[in-house]
Amino acid sequence: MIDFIKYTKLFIVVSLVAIALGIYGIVSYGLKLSIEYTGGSVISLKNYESASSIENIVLQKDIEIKEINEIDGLLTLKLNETSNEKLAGLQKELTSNQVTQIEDFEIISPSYGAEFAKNSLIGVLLSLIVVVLFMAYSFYKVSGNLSPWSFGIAALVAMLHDILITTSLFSFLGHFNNVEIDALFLTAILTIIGFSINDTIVVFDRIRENLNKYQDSKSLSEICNISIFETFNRSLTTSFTVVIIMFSLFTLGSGSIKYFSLALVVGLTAGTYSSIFIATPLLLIINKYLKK
Amino acid sequence: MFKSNPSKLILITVFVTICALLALPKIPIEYSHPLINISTTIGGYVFRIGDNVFDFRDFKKGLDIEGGMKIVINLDMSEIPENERDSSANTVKEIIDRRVNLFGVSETGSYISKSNDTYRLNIELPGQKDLEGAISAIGSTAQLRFRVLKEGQTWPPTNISEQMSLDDFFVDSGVGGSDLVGSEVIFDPTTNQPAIQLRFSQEGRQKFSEIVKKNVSKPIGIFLDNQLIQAPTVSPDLASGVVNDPTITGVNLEEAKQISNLLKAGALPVPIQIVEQNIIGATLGQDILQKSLIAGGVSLAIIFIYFIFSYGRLGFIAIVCLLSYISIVLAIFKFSNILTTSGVVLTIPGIAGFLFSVGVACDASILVFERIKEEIRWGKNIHLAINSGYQRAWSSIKDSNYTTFLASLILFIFGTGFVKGFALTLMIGIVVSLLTNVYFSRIMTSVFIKEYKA
Repeated sequence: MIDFIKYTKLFIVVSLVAIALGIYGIVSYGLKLSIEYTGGSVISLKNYESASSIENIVLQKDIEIKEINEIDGLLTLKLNETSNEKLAGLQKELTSNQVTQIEDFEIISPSYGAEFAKNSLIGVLLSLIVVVLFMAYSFYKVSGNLSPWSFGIAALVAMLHDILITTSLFSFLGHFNNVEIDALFLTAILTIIGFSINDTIVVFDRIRENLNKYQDSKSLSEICNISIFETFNRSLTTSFTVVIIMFSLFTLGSGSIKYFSLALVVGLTAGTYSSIFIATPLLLIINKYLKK
Repeated sequence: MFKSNPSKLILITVFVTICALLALPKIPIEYSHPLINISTTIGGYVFRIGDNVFDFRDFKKGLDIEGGMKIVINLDMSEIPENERDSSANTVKEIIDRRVNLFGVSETGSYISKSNDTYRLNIELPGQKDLEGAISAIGSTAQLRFRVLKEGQTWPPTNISEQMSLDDFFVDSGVGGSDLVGSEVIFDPTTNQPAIQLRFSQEGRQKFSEIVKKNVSKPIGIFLDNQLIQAPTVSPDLASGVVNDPTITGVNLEEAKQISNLLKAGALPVPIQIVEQNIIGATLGQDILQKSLIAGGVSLAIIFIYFIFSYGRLGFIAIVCLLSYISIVLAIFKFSNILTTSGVVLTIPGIAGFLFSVGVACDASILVFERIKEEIRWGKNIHLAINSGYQRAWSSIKDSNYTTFLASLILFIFGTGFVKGFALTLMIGIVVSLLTNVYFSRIMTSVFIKEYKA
């Protein structure tokens, strides 16, 4: 049997390095937020003469262009926030005289985006609190000298680890590939939260079972190690099935769905890693502090 | 010990088959052979029971797939007492629905979202592209107010300075569009000019007549969307007489018709403001939908092969369970839109969430079958191993699914927009996966692995 617990320090160092890199990325590059959060507008156009001619029309209307993209004959302009009248004027000008054909046109006011982000955040935080409480409740009767809170807290930290790694990857992608944090990214984070908790609970459940079984014959860290070993196959198989779905979406997909599935591939992989190599060692460490 | 129960299996098979047929789109089946000729279709059914129509033809697709327009309107409730806000929001929804219908859009979906103290109306217009037209239909509305002259002011003003606005002359009287029950275009019998006859509700008439009597020989401003339409002066003989419902004159026939229509559609009880407007093309969404379907199919095939390879006979059971899961969930998606107006809408995040839930459903099977393998490794015969495999795995399946369900429930309650939809999809997925991948699969193994004694 592989002694996972023996290498605890190594796993934690690997994660810490990844997180440190991630924090460096977030601090130095920031997060590139899409207009869903910042407000502004996006126009996608088809059948236009040239990108620069469209650019001129927009600039003539005294509207600032944030970004301009051309893929497969589809021109996407991201515009800074401006008045609705100006945008209506722009729309008229673009559609008159068959200059171009508008495929997508999206206007979002900044307060709306900020509020959306705030609501989502409140929802996420509340559900996290509920998760910790529920775990403390369902692991309350655990035998041995384990504090029930340590399960919830360890699962929470493992999950934050997964979210942080995914988010920081997107700060790099935002800086180097212009990938934005959009509403789909939030969906990805929610999914990662669900998966990460799921994965960690399966390992913890086995620890609970083995604590009853080996209570008198084995040490706590030995029991943890056996539990990780026994759930190892399941963890890998499950993440294999989920990652394969998301990976095929990533390779086939385009646009925002591509990066959505990338976020999931990364987050779910991190989730599997953390449930095996981080959550259980953390459980031991946190338990030591809670018992003091 | 779990008893083998073939009759339950038959019931489940019937149930899952029905779900699968309901979930399927209409598929033609053509087969011709010199001896047999088949030409029929399956799936995409429509049922009529009494007056109720159960339409299982298609999923309700979101705008991001079907294309169209979406407009989000902020409702300013600052002037409305707290206990009347919900009903005011509903009134706005009804009125705007009517306006949009006048604009010629038949299939609209609008819903009110409320978060904290902010009320929003989300209007979805599938297949529409004329944003400007829609906005003018929704937004160029008539918010009708009657205003009275401010103390110490005269109208028409004797000296106008640049900085002065109408607000410096008039102050709201408390009577407005919400006091009307209707309006119509009439022709003034003396001048033969078109005019708009307003019709007050009983309460509105009383309020209006009080104001009229207080403002004898003074003008009353009739404002539509903060623009002064006219300011007739109250004639002195009204002080004691009966106050008739007012008319708006000085408009041509076209204007009279338009204003009257807007008023008939109802004046909005609260001011509104557009906060989001989208035109969404269908090509991008269709492309993503198609690719997601391919991605789902490819990965399912890989997962199936893996299941058979690693669990043998049990792998087949896992595949059947997974297909049952997909059928039931999709049938629920369709059914939810027949039963309620706010059912599951297939959007791009929704599809991604569904694909993910397929993965989570696999997890239940994997947990059980890995456990069974383990029990066999520990020396149990297959029978005992299956039994304790389900028993032991249940504890972790239960805990992990309950936690995810609770978290989704919180998100469903507090989230807005697609976060809500995502949470709903996940909750449906969790319940169904427990049914198919634990309960159904238990019954299936008990029937099919019977003769498998070690």
